[in-house]
Amino acid sequence: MISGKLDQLGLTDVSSIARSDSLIAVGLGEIKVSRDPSAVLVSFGLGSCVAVCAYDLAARVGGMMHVVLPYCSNKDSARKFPGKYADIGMPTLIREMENHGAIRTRIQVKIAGGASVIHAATFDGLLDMGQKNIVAVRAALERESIPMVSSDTGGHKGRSVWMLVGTGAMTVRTASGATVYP
Amino acid sequence: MDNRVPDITLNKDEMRLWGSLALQGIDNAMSGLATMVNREIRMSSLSLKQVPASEAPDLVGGADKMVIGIYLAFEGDATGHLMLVHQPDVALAIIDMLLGNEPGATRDLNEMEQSALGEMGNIIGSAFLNAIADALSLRLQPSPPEVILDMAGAILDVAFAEILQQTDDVIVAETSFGTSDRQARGTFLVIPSFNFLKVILSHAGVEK
Repeated sequence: MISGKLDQLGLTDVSSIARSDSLIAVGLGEIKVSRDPSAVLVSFGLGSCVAVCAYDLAARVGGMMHVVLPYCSNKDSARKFPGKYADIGMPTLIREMENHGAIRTRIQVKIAGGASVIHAATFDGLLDMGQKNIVAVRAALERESIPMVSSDTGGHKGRSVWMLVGTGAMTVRTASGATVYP
Repeated sequence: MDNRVPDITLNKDEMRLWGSLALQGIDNAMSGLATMVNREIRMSSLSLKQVPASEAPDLVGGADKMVIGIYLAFEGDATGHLMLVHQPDVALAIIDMLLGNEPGATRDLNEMEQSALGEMGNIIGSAFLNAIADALSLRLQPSPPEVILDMAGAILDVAFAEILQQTDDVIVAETSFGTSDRQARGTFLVIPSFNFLKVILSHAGVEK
């Protein structure tokens, strides 16, 4: 059931972050990495997709991956959109972080997304795509021995996710408000 | 499994065929809507697009834009997704129209308001699918409609999760429509699966 209060929509301002000059949008299937301390990485309007926010605090390198699907079924597509699949995207994200000066053993990850926005049974397999993505992301992190320090996943609401490259803080906004994971 | 990205680029003839089918469907859907709201519905020209999935949310104003979406999936001989997307205040104006309320009377989206929008989705979706199914002698069946208030990107993810398993682009048929007094403007998106395009092209004698 969706919220009956439409006026809540006004309360979703994430103020300064959303207006940052150095906003780097991370689209479906993309991986973006930055070491510019004023940069903000952002994935807008995640439903079943999952944003993986990786950070090396010592090197102040941040990376974001916008996962669409759990497992790679199409290698060609993965070359063009390296973050599309959780399983093969994770090693690519870590390699990109290393290329920007991060040290693998220092990388920590926060994740957000994986909602099921549509409740009704439509087709088999599409229903719990959000859940499948979360499971695949966690499995990939375990394989790479990367610790996950916060997560904001599941539920029935879409999310927008920001990460400040200067601090590694992740901000998650839904229709009903914003939460910061420092 | 074939690891190459299938080529879904439609040539001119295929695009014309898909366009004429989509137009028949949307025409039928809009007359269904006109009957339901008892008003004249004007439709802007239909646009057929093939866009990278990452750009598709721009069709409805951006991925984090709050919208009210009416979503239906369809299945049968082929699968795909239908979506009606409105700005929240426009959706409330449509509900006023559907329920015969004074303009501005509807402020919240509770069960009755949602079911009115769902009913509109039913009518538009069935009319659209019937027109295409009749033209090609296919069986196409809509799912129950779902009414969602959320970010546009989050709603579109449902369709993308299916389509992006096979390709990187999405093909959409998009039209905006409204009542002649412009009270109710919205976007109607048809997002066919790759298999839907294959089926309609082969039924019409164009192999893909």
